[in-house]
Amino acid sequence: MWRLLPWLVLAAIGGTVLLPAFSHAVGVWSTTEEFGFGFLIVPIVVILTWSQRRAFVGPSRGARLGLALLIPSLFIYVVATRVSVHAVAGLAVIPILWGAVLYLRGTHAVRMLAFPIGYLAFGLGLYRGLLDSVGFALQGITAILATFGANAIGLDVHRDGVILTSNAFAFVVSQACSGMSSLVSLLALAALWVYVATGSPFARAAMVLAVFPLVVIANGVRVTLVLAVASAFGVDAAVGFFHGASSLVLFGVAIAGLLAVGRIAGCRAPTFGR
Amino acid sequence: MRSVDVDTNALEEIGMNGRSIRKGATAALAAAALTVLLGGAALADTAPNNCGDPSMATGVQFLSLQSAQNLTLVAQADGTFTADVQVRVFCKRGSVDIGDVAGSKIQVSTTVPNTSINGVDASSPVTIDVPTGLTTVHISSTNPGLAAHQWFARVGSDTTFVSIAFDRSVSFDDSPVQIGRVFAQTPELDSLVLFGAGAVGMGGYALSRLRARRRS
Repeated sequence: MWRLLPWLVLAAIGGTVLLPAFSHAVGVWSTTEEFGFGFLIVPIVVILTWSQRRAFVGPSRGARLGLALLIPSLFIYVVATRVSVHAVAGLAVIPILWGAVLYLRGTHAVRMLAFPIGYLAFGLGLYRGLLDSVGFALQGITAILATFGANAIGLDVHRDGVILTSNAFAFVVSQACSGMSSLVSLLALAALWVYVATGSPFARAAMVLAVFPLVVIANGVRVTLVLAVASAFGVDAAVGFFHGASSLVLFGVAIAGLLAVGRIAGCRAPTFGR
Repeated sequence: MRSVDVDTNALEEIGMNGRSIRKGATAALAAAALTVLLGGAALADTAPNNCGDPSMATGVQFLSLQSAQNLTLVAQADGTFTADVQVRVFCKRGSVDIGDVAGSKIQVSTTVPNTSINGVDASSPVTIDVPTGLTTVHISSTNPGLAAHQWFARVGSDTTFVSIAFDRSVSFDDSPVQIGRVFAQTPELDSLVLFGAGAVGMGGYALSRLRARRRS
């Protein structure tokens, strides 16, 4: 028990210093539907870290090089927090933790914990400005694809910006429809998968790169299906149960596509033997 | 050649309606998507300055926005959410834009609590001079959150609406309609649900592959 005391004290101090980054992140997760998955990132990081707990066992081989990473990162963190650039402050937490592990436990430990700590980026690096830039671009792409898909299946749909109209309905592809939720969720899942799976760096990169086109296509198909249902059965039918179910099903299809890309590229399912 | 009457103003009305429902919102940034449903066309004739001819009609458009483009209300250090939008008063003959209407006025009102337009409380109509037919309107609100289908604007027969307000989707179930239409949305499920379901699915797949490998 006494052996753990220094670690507990260190964790308490570190937690206090880094609390503002996590506190702000919780605010983002709780107020932005597209980033709500952030709540699941920390438990996953804890599980991944626990799976690498051997990093904390045995004699310390701490390296002073860790301070070279820790101190500048801490400086960036403090400045970013002071000027309220919260995404930068959140991302600075990662090199702070890497530096601390390197300093206290050495290179072997930091190698083992590099991904678990780095995975925090999916929770702490989120900021609402992403919705204005990436989200808005996705809105336009989704509207174009859905119009193309609807016309291809014989629906007379016209597009004006992100507004899709026909004689039967008028839909707006708003930010909530952009595919941003799918994009960030699938990116986080892909990163997790390539970490636990086995395969060459090329195969892993192929999986991550496949996320964007898969999400765009899946979301375009989803909105096309909503338009088709609205055209056949009315808007109420399209935006009711069908829209929720189609969102989940198409996300499942995107995941299946991601795993298929992984298999083709040579990324094999995890063996959990690492 | 038509006569020019410099005393005539084009008066259009923009109405906004809304209420606050989310107290204590911790949002640091507010995003609003204003979609402008105004038809634009190339200049094709000499611009009148009063648009008084019966064959003409006055229109208002938000120049800083193209059709369905976003406008972001940015959180300020003082707790307000603000944005600037350029408003243009123009004249059209049929569907042809024939130029700005000089000496115009627009009137803006809102029932969104604590909102000001150009620094004037907008709970009652605010009259804004547009001497050249073009001006910038400053929108400011201390309202931390907007309910669905609560923020919209109407410009003559044209409708401007917000599809996302303060990072929350806005449904158009009972928003004002244009030509009798109701705008619906096709939002995705929450990313928490997608990520959770995806993690469970991928975990299940990994386990099934692992068992298959052990059997073989």
